[in-house]
Amino acid sequence: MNIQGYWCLQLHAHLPFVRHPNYPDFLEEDWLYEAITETYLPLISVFENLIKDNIDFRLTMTLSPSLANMLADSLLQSRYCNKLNKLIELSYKELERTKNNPAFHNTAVMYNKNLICCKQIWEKYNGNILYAFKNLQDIGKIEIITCCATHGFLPLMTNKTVIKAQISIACKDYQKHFGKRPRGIWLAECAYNYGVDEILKNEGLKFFFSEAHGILYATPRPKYGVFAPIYCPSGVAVFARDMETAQQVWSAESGYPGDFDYREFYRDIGYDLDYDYIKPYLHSDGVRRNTGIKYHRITGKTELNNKQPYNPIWAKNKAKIHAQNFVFNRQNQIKYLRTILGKEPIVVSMYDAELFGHWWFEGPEFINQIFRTIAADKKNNFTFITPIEYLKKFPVNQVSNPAPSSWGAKGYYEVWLNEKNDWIYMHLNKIADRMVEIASTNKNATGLKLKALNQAARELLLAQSSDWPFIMTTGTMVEYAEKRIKEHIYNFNTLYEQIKNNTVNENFLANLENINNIFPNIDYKVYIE
Amino acid sequence: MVNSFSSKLENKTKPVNKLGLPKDYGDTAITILPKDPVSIFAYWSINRETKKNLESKYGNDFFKNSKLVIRIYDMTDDTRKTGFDVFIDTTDNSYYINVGKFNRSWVADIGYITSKGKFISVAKSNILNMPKYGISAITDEQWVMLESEFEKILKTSNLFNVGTSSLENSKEISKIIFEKWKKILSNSLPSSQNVPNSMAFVIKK
Repeated sequence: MNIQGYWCLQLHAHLPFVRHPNYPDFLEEDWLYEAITETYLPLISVFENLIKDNIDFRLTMTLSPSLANMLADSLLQSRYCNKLNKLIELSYKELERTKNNPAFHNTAVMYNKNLICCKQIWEKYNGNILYAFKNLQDIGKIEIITCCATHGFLPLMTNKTVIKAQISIACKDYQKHFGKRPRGIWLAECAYNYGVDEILKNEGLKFFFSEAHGILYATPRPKYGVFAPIYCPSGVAVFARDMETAQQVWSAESGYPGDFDYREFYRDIGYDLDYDYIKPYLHSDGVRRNTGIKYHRITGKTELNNKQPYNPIWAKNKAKIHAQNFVFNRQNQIKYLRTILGKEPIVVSMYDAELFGHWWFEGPEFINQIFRTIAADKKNNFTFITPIEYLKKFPVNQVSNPAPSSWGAKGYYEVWLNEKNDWIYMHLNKIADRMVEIASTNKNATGLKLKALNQAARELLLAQSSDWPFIMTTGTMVEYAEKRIKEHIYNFNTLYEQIKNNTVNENFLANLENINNIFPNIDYKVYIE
Repeated sequence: MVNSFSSKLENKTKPVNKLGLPKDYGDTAITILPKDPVSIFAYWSINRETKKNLESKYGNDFFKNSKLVIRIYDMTDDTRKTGFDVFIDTTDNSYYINVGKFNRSWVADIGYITSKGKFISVAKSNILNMPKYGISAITDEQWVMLESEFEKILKTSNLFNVGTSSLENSKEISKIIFEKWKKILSNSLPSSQNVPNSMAFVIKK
């Protein structure tokens, strides 16, 4: 095998911290439960099967600190387990319901099998699937990277101490879950700003990812474009997104996930079946919503009620064909790049992990087939690599200043700063300054004040999540995002006044500690200026 | 990717129910944030004490005879150069300002212009280095590249999907890029209604 270049797959797994212990049933917690069932467990299954079949693979994966904290949380684990059990129960009922309907029965069998497989993996790791990812990292198959602590959007933060805190809290939390320091980071929304690399360097981070123009607009001009990393003057490496592979997967028109054989997301038995039958599997409010069990394929540009039955075998075959096409395209891309660059290129494909499985049901199978195709093709001209492996192999790279940018629409910050969400920044930057103020004036706090300072830090961090302004821009679940951000700002400001006036209310604090328990070991001193 | 940037000054309605949040924090301050390479979001507050001080210094009619203004200075290379004024409504507390130039640094003062044309600043913002736009004209001696080879890399990188800028030395595509750049820049210049050109002025160093 003559290696002409490298392919780096980076999956960004992240969800905002949503945990409502005061309610027995909370709609937005479904974001986590659905992602576990449809993305995280199927990916673990793919990776473990590749190992079992002795197929080599490599990828880089963010497990954002807010996601990791939810996956490690015993309440959410136990709630997920209940959800999964209910879904399995429903899948058995579906076997019975569809037994005389061949058009749907194979799909019912598939769901039942998939869900039982989910349960087996869940039990294997005793409900904490972070161990599954840790194992995969420990045997060298995946490189887990961290992310800003609560996915805070760094270019819109004005206080440098607070930016540093988003990074250092993340690195410390990573160490707790994965037993070592992280070597790479995904800056939330790929949003880089001047000087952030210095902060990363001080935390021992070796690399981060950027949107294509993060490197293409770098100064001086990058000799190899996005097909080689650059070093920031601080020595931290930047790997930029390859747009060709981005479009093959993301594009609504030409991307693989839109294929007519793939599963249709918007037809779900939560809406389609008799209300009395489906009601026990809906939320307690009884409103019809997605259950995750869907029997139709995309079919074509047609109304939802004209969608044709899903055929699991067709879909699986199509995922294999697409994976083969993806590999073929990489072979040609890398062959061409090798000739124009005069060196081995690296092609970096970056995607939201939740695209695979949740939105694109066949996505995990697509990834599975990519690695199997590479393994089977003896004449293949490229191989997979992680950024750390690449830097070991090619330690000499151009030094250049990356350009501030993001991977949001138009490439900058408009998604997170526009007329729908701009009101939040007056508060976010103010409470950030206030956090630094109360930390710096209480350098050696003890007892209740210490706890209050730590909780104030959690409230600030939770308010800073880029998910809230993103949701406000996209226009779905806006009410929840606004409520969350207002609550955290209110909680912070209340704690701030209580800390300043030495009037910390124990009950108020205890309630917040119970609900917003992200980063149980947080140390407010990270905010001391 | 970079298809177009916001092209005019915007004022906006805020439907958000902000119950439970303070209207402001009692400061006299202005902060500027980057929206894209040519758009700044500014938010500010002026507290009672500042207003009282202005009245006691300049008379009780001060607010009647003056206009609230954000004065934007170009701070590229750490030197204060040209600037322009944006007149704002006293009921506003935030604004989008299009600065009309790429790859600069900016700072904003908020203050009042008196009837005699004197600017009285009440708060100064953070210095804002705007996100970079465009391919660097600077090349690295250690990483020498031929223009023709670099053009091939740009094409393969799908640069035109990301957005482009002045590639000064490249003959083949510089014209296309320049036209696109010019179009974006002309769209992004402050509109004559909101920031009359006559308001632009030069700061004497």
